[in-house]
Amino acid sequence: MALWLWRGPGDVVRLLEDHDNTFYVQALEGDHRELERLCTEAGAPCERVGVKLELGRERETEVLKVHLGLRDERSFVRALNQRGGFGRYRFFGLDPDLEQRFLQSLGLYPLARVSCYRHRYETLGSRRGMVRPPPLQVAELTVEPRMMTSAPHLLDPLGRLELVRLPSPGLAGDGTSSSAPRTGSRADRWEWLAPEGEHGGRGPTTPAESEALEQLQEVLDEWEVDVVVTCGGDQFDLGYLWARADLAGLRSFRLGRQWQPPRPRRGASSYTTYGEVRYQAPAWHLHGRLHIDVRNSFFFQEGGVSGLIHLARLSGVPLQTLARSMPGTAISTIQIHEAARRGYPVLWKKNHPEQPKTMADLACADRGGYICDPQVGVHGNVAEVDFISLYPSIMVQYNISPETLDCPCCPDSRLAIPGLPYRYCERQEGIVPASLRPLLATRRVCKALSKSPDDHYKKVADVLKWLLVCSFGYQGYRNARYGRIECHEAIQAAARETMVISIELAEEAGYRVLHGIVDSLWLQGPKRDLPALVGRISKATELPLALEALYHWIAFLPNRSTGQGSLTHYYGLKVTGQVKYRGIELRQHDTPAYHQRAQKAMLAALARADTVDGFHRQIPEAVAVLRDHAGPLRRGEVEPGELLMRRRLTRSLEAYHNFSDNSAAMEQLLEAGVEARPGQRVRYLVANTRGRTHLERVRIEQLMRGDETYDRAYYYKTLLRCGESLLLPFGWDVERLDAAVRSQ
Amino acid sequence: MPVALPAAALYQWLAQGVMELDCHGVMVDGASTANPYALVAAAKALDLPVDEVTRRVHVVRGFTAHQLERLCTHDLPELALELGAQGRRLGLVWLSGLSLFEGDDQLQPFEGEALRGRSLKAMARLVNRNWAFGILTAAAGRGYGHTGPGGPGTRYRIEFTQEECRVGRSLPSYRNQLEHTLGRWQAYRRALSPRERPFFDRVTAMARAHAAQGAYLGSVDPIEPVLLAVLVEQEKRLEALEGRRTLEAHSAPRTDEETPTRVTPGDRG
Repeated sequence: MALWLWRGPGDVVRLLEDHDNTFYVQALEGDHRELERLCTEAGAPCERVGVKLELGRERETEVLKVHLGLRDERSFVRALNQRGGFGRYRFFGLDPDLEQRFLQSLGLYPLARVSCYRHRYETLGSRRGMVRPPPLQVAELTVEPRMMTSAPHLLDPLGRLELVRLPSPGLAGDGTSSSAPRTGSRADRWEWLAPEGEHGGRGPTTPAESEALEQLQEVLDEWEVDVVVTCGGDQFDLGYLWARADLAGLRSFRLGRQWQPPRPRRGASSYTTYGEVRYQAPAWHLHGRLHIDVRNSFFFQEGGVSGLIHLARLSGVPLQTLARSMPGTAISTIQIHEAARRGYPVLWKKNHPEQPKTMADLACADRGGYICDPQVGVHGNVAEVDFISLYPSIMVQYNISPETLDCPCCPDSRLAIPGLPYRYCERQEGIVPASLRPLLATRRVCKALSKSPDDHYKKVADVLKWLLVCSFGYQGYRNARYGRIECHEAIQAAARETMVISIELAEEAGYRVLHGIVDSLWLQGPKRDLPALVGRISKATELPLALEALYHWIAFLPNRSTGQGSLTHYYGLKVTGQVKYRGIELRQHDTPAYHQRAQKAMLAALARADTVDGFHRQIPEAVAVLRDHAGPLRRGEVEPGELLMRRRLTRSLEAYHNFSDNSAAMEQLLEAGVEARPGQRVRYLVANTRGRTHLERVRIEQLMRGDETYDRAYYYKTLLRCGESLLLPFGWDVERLDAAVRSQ
Repeated sequence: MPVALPAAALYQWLAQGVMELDCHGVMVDGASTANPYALVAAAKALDLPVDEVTRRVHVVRGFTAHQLERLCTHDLPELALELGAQGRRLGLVWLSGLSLFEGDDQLQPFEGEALRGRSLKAMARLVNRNWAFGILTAAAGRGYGHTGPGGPGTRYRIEFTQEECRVGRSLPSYRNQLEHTLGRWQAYRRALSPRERPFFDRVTAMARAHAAQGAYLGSVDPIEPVLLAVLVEQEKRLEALEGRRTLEAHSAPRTDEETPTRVTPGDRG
């Protein structure tokens, strides 16, 4: 297998290392002779070894260690599993994937600093410590086909290629702001434009095109690019480049430092998660270079290259895989590594179900966090206090891990869960808390060190935050390697108890609790005593509470249908002058830009007051702002580009029963020749909600020319609703706002 | 023949069964559909003691095909033995969510069939050994097979439906449950006179205003917290009224005409 070492700018070497791919298999009936025969017949040598299989126990069980050499284990294991009737054999040590086990076997991890001598490697420095990323060369690649129709197609001829050098993550700043490259010397930018005039249409390539592809390859080598950043490279660009190279007959075309077969590591797919259909673009990994697609990388969007590098070191997931995965993958891998460090290989196809319980116990156990019922209206002089990483802190504090639950070694454990019949081990720290503890510590340090929003530490803290957030939900995930429903339940029970204790203490100290959600509380009362209260709660609960913000005023909004306080809809003016808002249209991705601007302007009008009385006096001002925005909208003067709705397609076209905006948009996409899969996002203008055909009803962004008319009544109504969401508690509903707007 | 049964009927089967046969029952849930509140509703509909029923019906949840198989072949027989040691009998078994053996993304070809076969065999063994009744369903209430205390030759007929297996928490939250109850009560509101409806709305608002406390209580009966919420709110109003009356008594001679408007129950205006 190949190992790429970066020794300095422009000095990258590829080393080939031998690898013996091994795994463990256990015959449940205890007889290993047949297994041995099967493996030997298949040409895989095996031996009997003792391995710790039960988490938390030191006892070793005899299993078979199978050596596969460089062969891929998947088909082998599947065949063996089938021979065992899908139940006689249990397999261990097949996670994480091959690349990671290869690195592990050498004692390495991705982006480690190493010293190497004759196939012997030694890592330098601490894996968990903060490191400045090396000065990697980062370049952004833009690919533009000369489109024959409204959407790009693999057969369209090449229109433009651009490569722009971005600031290196090792230097000041970070390569996340992809639109703002450094301008300066000529060498920072390379561009190729298709010659004007004739082209062959769809299909064959021109000599100029193959020259361009060869040039691109040369420039990448000349600049010694280490990281290729694209915007949509996984979805289209890279596959397109290879398709063009193939048509041009450039068999040796490469974008990495080494030739690779022209296909993605993983194909595209649609999948369902939490009742939502998502789309996953194919993964184009490069050999000897790192390809990051900004659009296909959650972690890059959150933490940039610095965050990715830190996380790749910490989790052991290679950077290109990590860039395309979700936080759950990273947290799972960290736990697997922790288990491996203790000598426990991971069971393949986990089958640990929930413990039996009665229906009465289930109703009591399967509950969420504590949520108060907020007091609707505007309140002055409010403080928000938050528990820092509450759920992960609880897991560490109570030692909550699948193997520490009801352990036989401590029947009288003090770590009992309030309200539930679970207790956790006192003697040994579980795998889950042990893998979370360093994350919590690093995040605390990074948060303390971070100053500017563009800071290296800030980015690492942001990435870690997502890991910590997911570590709780992962306990309830059915395929989690180290997850268990009882842990999921215990964490929430502990969180409820924590909140109730905090509320009691706050009320004792004379504060009025306006609202509370799972880990945050909004308190009204004297500012002077807050630090003392925060200290007292932290001490009583043994969990870190912090003062998050002070508000001049905060407005809790009602639920439109019941009139009771909505749990997650509010906005408020912090004493720093910043407006915080949650749940309103401004936060929702599908709100048109124009409406967002209108709502923001209304908030700004309200934020001119820093008292509750002043707030009430500013309300007519906010209504006036709404009126100013409604005018051009009703007259049809707003740019159509500002009224685009951004929606996620939830199903395939056949599955839409009713003719809706979404189904019309999907029809239009397919007609325009764009691949449209469930889970993909689409942006469109609503032209006429009563339109009979898809072209009458909506217009997708790709087909817009800028002179479209929009459905004025529809957009006016949605604008009024934006106003209503802010002002409903103060007597301004859609009808009254409508009257106020029209009265002018 | 496969018969479509509403989930409520199956919960009633469990509730009535455990009481009449004086035994324990278990729901093996592979579809994340186990709902204690539905069992409570069933028990109430049959006028059975809620506490006793919810303590006699057990639930085991599996979220993957491998977990479901492990439940059937290992945890379920163990539960039966455990109950037997306490002098109780496992008399009813409901296995729900069999389509998990088809729809799991971790399965390789033929694996689902193998796991399902083993699970059903273990189920039949358990049912026969305990002289129990068993029901197999694909989704709760959708198509079923029946295994009585017959022989090992009992035949299964199972209809498969695709269902989504939810993740993590699968029970409706108290707030959802409350909205469900209040939605059910809308018929009651409709039958009230327009003059009385605002009072009904005040009652539902009282229930919603104490959703946090209801959720924290963790009661299996969703009506209990509603009643408590209304009682507390009415106590508050009573005190306010009494306070006003004493205040009035001190300040001026009381006049009976000033008492708030009373509405006679059942008054249809």
